[in-house]
Amino acid sequence: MSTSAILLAALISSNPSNPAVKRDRPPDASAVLRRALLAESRVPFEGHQTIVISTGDSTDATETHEIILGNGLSRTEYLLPRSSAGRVVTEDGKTRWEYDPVQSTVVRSSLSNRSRSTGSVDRILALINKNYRLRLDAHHERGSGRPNFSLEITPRQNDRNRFRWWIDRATGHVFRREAYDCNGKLNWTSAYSIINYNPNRTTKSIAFHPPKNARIVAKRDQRTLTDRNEIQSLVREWGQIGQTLGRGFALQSACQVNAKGMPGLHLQYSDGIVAISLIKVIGSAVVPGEGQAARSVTIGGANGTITHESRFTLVSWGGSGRTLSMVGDVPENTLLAIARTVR
Amino acid sequence: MRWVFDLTVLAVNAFALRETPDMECEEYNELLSAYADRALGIRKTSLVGAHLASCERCRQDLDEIQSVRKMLRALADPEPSPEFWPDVRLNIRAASVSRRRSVSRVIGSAATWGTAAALVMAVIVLSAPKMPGMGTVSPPQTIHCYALISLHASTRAESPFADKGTLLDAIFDSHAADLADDKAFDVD
Repeated sequence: MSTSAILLAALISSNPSNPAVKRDRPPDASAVLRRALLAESRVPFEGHQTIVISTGDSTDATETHEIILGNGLSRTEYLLPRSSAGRVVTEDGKTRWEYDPVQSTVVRSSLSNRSRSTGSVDRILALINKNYRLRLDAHHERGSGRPNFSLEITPRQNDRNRFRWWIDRATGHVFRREAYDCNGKLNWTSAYSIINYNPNRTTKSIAFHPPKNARIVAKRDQRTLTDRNEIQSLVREWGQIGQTLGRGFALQSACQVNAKGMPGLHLQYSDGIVAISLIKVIGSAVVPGEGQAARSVTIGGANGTITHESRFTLVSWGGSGRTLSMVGDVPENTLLAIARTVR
Repeated sequence: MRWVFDLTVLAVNAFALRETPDMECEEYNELLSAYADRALGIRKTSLVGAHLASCERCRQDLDEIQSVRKMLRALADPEPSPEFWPDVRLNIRAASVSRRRSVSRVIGSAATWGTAAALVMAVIVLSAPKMPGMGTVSPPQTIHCYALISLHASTRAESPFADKGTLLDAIFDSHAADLADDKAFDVD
């Protein structure tokens, strides 16, 4: 090789605009996360998702076949476990159809139009950056067989799960997630396999047709308020609504509900990654535990119960003619500590 | 026994006259009806009696009052309408129930600390921000935990990075519970 050829090669390799060089230098973690956020449910793909959840001594696995066409069009069919096989969820952007062959029932519900603007994406990113530290690694053709990033999302306080996400470099699609508890134990994983980013599918091919003889149940329209002013309008009826639960969980939405004839308010808070629901019901109610036995707890002088279901922790307590419940994918101690600050 | 009353009146009169308040004739005149009914106290009876002794106009007014009373007494009692006595009984019963309640409230609050505490609680509840349906007492309802998780998951499923798979699974599980449980949660 001549001297001029060596110099040329050195110049090319030092040029920052060279795509080959850019690929080796991982961009800013927030920028990758922002891209993933904007890409979510917009990137069309077809693949199998396997979710494995470790709960105490048992491990549950769910496998689904998913077709995402973007613009809110999707179809999810359950393959495993056998008890769930045949369940189908179809969304056409406005309506969600959920078919359960065991019950021979179709539940139809309206989807709220919660568009993801760049403004809302930036608000979520700010929340994530406030509560988590981000660290990005670049990989070539590992995991999915395509270039991807691995993003480490570590909570600033060690009171909730730590996450590791794999993000497809070309599309921004998050194709694998892992969640670790405060002690570093793997809690759950969600991974796509056999991914096709160019599914040859039409809208018609995923349209839902209720099977004959299936019972169709229409759920009432859910009017979820996300605008701060709209949420504030509920204060007149419900008293002060906390804008935060503490520990970085900020109010995202509010919805008035009805629990067996009792008026209720459902508030959802998020730290950007994880959400916690606070459900207030006016009236006395008991929430018996399922799966693992419920345990008695005391919250602010009131008796309550705490239980776990799948990856969720649920605490419920009551007094003075009202019942409060909290649900979230957070450790028991964290949920209890937050519950004890609720007035 | 009339003489005892008259003697007492004279005695009090003598005492009252010593320090007669500066009352006008009109004021004595207003007391004439009660004087005729012997409804005044001794002191006022004495004062009115002393005034009558010196006031021709008030004596005439008193005679007029007494003659009207005599005429009224001479009239036959009218028969009440058939609804009159049932109405009276109902009114008496309603009044006595209402009185019993108020009396028991007063007695109870004074008698037991428990009731006092309940009253304090009531004050706290009333002073708290008013919430819909507050105060209605009904037996506890059972809410399935799947219903709460479904409520959480269905809202969360539409949020970013929601990891729909497990959320939809939770929603599915809750539907079976909801349907068996007459829809534990409805959205208003």
